[in-house]
Amino acid sequence: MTDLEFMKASELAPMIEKKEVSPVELTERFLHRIDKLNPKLNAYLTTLETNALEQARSAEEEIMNGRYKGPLHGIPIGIKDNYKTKGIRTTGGAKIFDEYTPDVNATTVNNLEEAGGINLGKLNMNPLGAGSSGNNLDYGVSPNPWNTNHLPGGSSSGSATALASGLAVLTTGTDTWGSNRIPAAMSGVYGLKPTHGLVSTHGLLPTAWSLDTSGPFARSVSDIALMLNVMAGFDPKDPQSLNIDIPDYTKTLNKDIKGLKIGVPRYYLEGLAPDIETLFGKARKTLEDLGAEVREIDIPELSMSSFAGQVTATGEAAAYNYSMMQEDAGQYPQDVRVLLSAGTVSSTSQYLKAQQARRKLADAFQRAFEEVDVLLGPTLPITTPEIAKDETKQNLQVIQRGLPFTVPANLTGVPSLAVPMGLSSDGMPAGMQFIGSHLSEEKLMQVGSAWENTNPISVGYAEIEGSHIPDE
Amino acid sequence: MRLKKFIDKELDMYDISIDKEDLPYVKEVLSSIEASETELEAFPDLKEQLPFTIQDKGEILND
Repeated sequence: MTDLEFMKASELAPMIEKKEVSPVELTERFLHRIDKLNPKLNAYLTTLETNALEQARSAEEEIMNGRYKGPLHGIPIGIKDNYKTKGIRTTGGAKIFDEYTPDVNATTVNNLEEAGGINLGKLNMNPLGAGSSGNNLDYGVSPNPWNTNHLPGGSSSGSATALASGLAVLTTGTDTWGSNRIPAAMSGVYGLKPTHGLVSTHGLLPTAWSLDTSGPFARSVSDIALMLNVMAGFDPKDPQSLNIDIPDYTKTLNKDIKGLKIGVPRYYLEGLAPDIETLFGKARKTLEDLGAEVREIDIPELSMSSFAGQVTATGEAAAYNYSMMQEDAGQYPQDVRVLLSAGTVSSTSQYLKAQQARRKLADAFQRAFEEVDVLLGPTLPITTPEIAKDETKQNLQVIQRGLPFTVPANLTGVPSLAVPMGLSSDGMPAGMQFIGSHLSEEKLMQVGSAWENTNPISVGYAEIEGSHIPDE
Repeated sequence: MRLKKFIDKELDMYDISIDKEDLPYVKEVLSSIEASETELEAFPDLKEQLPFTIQDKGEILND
């Protein structure tokens, strides 16, 4: 067996079901890789060796006894460290929560474990989800496996790093203003920001309540669909949870996209780095070759996204952290403290204006989706930056460039699927995002898988620098 | 300078104390917000919009 660590869950699942692959052996292989690579990649803040092996043994016993639960049974998964895990340290990537051990699981952790997923450990992130660089001034950066001098993107940095380097089959992320999609773009993997309310946020450490979403990360769209099948669903513990029927998100995979109308907002074509412009132009052409109708459209309201996103995110984060900031602001890493301070100082009228802008933007999106099936834009206007010395400044720079592209989906609650777009001239991944109307995840799986089948990144994950274990 | 003093004073009012080295970064965020706020001027009817509010449908239906 070769490269099991880089196989998709959709490939591993039938092998596990047929008892050709042992969940225990698979888990041991991942734990071995984590042991060897994590000291350099810092993807995991907490590794759960004993717990993972116990879950793997239990999965194996169930499968051997004919109680196969489904495609995630026996699949090793990494969990972002802002998902509460019962009896397991949950730091939110910040030392302020260094010793916090919840007595409950996040609903989605329960969902994944009940489906038979194996929890390998808790993944690195920008502290408290307050960043886009992927840096972590408390626990250290989880560098980009494609080139460890580069940022991984954040806030779900460890979620992306673990996938790109073969340290998990699947990972979870959260997305408040792009935290799933930005690291997916920078690290060349797939990340979904689902419709607000489709996936429970109960048991997440909040960043900004009205923008926070929980979503899947994977090395393929088919795996995103498998995870979403398990993560989505009504949760009475989450007041924002939608009580709707959940479809099988794998049903639309590999359907053609002939005649699909794709709108490219002109807003997403402004200020692109030359490499991004080139790659995006090629992507549009490829989608046309697949039979989609791609056309540019105007959504002027997108110009309000930057204001509405910054004010809402910093204001809500400041409210959540207010008493702890009063107690001792020095316990927060500088890049987080800066955002919380800005949120404290910004005004109530600005916050309300931001909520009015959200209404107007949501209406504009609704009008756009009467004309086109999905929207398309680069995930980021910039290529993946090298890690800078001034981490606080760099975090702000990545937020200010990235947020206008990613936060519109959070502000309006619509889903957005980030996919790799190709490699820039320095060999680093770049990404783009398909944005759909509310609850159009099936359509996003359809167009995403059609795109994935064009093999946008020709380099295999096992070939990239950060995936190699020295002396093996 | 004026904005830095304002930030310091405001945070002090909220009983929050931060490092002096943080102030230029906080200023940068607030300047970015202020600059992006000018984009709202293109939408004079914005003030007529009902703000997005967290009003749980579940709570209403359960009343």
